[in-house]
Amino acid sequence: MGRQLKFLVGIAIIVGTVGFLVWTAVDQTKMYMITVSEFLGSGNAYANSTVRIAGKVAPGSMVWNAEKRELLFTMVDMAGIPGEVKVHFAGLLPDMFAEDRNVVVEGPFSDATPFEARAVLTSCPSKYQAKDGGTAPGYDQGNGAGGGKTS
Amino acid sequence: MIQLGNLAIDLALATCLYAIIASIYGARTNRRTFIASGSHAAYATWGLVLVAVAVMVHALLTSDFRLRYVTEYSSTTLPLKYKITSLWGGMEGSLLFWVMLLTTFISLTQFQNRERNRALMPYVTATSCTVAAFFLSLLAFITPPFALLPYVPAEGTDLNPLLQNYWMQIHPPSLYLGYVSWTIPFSFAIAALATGRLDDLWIRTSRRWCLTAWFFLSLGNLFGARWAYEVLGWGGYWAWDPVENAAFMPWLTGTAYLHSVMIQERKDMLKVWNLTLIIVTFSLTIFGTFLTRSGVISSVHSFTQSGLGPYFMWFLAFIVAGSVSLLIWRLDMLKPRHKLDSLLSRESAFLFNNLLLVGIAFSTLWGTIFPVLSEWVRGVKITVGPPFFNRVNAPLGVALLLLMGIGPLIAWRRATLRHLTETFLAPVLFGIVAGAAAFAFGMRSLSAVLVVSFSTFVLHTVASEFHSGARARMAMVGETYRQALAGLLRKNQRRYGGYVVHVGVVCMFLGVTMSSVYRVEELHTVKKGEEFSVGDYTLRYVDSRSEEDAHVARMIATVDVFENGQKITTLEPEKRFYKRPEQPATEVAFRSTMKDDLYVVLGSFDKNGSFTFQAYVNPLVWWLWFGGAVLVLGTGIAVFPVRRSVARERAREAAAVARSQAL
Repeated sequence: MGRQLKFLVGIAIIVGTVGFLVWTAVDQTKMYMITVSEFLGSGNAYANSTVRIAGKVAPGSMVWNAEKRELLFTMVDMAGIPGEVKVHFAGLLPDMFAEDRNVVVEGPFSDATPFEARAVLTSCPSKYQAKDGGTAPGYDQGNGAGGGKTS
Repeated sequence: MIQLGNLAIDLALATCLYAIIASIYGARTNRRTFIASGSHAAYATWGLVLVAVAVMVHALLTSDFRLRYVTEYSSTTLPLKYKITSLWGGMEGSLLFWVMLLTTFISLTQFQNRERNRALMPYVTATSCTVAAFFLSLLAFITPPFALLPYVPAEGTDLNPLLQNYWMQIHPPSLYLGYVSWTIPFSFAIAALATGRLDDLWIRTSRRWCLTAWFFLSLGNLFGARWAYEVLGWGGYWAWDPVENAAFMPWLTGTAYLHSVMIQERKDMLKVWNLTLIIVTFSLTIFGTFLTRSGVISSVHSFTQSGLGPYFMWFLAFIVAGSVSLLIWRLDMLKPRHKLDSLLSRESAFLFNNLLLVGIAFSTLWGTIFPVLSEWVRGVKITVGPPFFNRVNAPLGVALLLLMGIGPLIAWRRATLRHLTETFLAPVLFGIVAGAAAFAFGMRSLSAVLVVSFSTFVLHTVASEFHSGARARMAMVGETYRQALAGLLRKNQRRYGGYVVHVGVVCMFLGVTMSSVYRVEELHTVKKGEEFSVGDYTLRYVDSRSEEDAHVARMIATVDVFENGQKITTLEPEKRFYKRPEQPATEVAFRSTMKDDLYVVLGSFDKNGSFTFQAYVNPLVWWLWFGGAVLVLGTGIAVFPVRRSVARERAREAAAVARSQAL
């Protein structure tokens, strides 16, 4: 085998490995980012996948049981489209969790009620932006501080 | 005062643009006076930017709430030190701070090269000032830092509590220093392309800048990790957040560059690759700023929706298109003088090291922008979390660790079998024994065993390099062993400093691997006097108290920690409630030892007296920070200027000039 060819093979192996790892890892770790209305209208499109649902905590719906560390709340669409998702989460209450705030819940897709979240992500209260309390519309993934498991 | 700030920014932009035009015009027409004038304009820009920064700092210190920026990022009750750090706490301020660093570096480069690199310098000035002009025009037209409010509020809304932390004082500046320093080597690369002076002059001249940039980028990443660990309270230090990735990617390609230039200097190969790496690294610093400013990809840092995104995108496109065209234009001049000889050579070890580093950077980039890509291509937004990055980068990282042991020892050009066995037999045996021992002691995770084995291998090779080098000096110069070791570091700073860096990286590898593989996590709700255990520790919730001042109210829990029935320490995790803006925050408490960290978070508390604690045991995480310190030391050894004879530098330069004229 020619010398340069050997190098090409070596390079191809590394590049191929990186490509393969990226490809399979995306497949195994992907999460669909959807809104409450998309979730409600999805039928069974996301079966067997993990979803991250973005929505707003409905005012008056939050029930926090500190002793059992159990959180129940209703999530509505941020854009005001009618419909709601009941969410159950067993874990610590995230620092920034509050009613009328935008949150993202993560968990395996299921149409059972309530939706069982394995993580609740609150948007970071970053003041890098101008307006107070403003959370970016869409998918602010919090850091999981105090709340969701990050890994 | 405020008008002075605005004026300074406008004038700085003007002088900066003038510097670009004068330098290029001077270089094209060979008029020295214009080149000199361009250089002076660069100094002037620096001076004007300093004036603007001084105005801003003055406004922050005097709580001048006429300014929107001061109102939003400061308050009268904010401690003095945070009033100063508010300079980079918000977007306009951090851009101003960025420009200040950049123009400082430009001036420093002008000064360093005032009598050197006559051919390159005008283009260096023009390139670096183009970058400065971009940032200055953002400040002048898009996000004016001295914007006034229509009314003067009595009080500011304060700096984000999460940023009121020691590490946050030093994390952004060091990260910016790292980002900004890459502008200088990039400018030299562009100058080399523009002038056709494509020997290794630009590399040698910008070497110290690269090391400095790498140094600060490393520090910035480390400080950021430390901040996440102490402040965010989820027990970890790295979450593969887009903004973390943005700082990690240029670090990776920069590391690749630092290694591959050695091949160019020695073998005159990989010229195109090196130029590509420096272009990519610089582009990634701009891309990183784009990520943090645009809100395209949300993150913990969510600077969000500043409207700056498109400007950065265009600037990035301009940078990439411009440098790639230059590169293609000069492709003929960049033919290597040698070819790779053998797979078993240092060149090839470096080549594969480069591929792995770039591979990790690529996968990190891919995972970071995947939500955007998938939305473009398939119309669905798909995100990948930390598991993606771990899954891809862990194996690549372990392979890199192995190469770190091979690279420094294997022969240049072509290693013989005899040489290989002589050099590598002992380290390989040690590595295998260490891996087997780890397995025998109950380690069952493949990556943990491999990391132990490869780390031992690397440490052994580094130790034997020091040892044989010192022995050689003892024989030649007649020094004692200790003098010889010090002599090695002094006489060959870059090489032995690099080895010290490698030791640091090995420690970090161990810390990261063990703390992620063998981490223990417990969540318990207890009442006063009750206990729970995590790992080998037993924790007893003893008492709680609440405190309050003008700034913050806090609930503090007292937790006694026992190990083997002995009380070893008391930890006091807190829950805080900041008053402006109203916001709860978690203040973790942890006890760090070389063996492991016990990390306790006060999760929540109930009126009926039950407190919920989240406790982690992170093994060997101490070694991550220790490794970081070693890395800093090693880089310091490599970069710290030891007075070399100026004459020798001059002679080298003259020789290089002679050579290029002869061609």
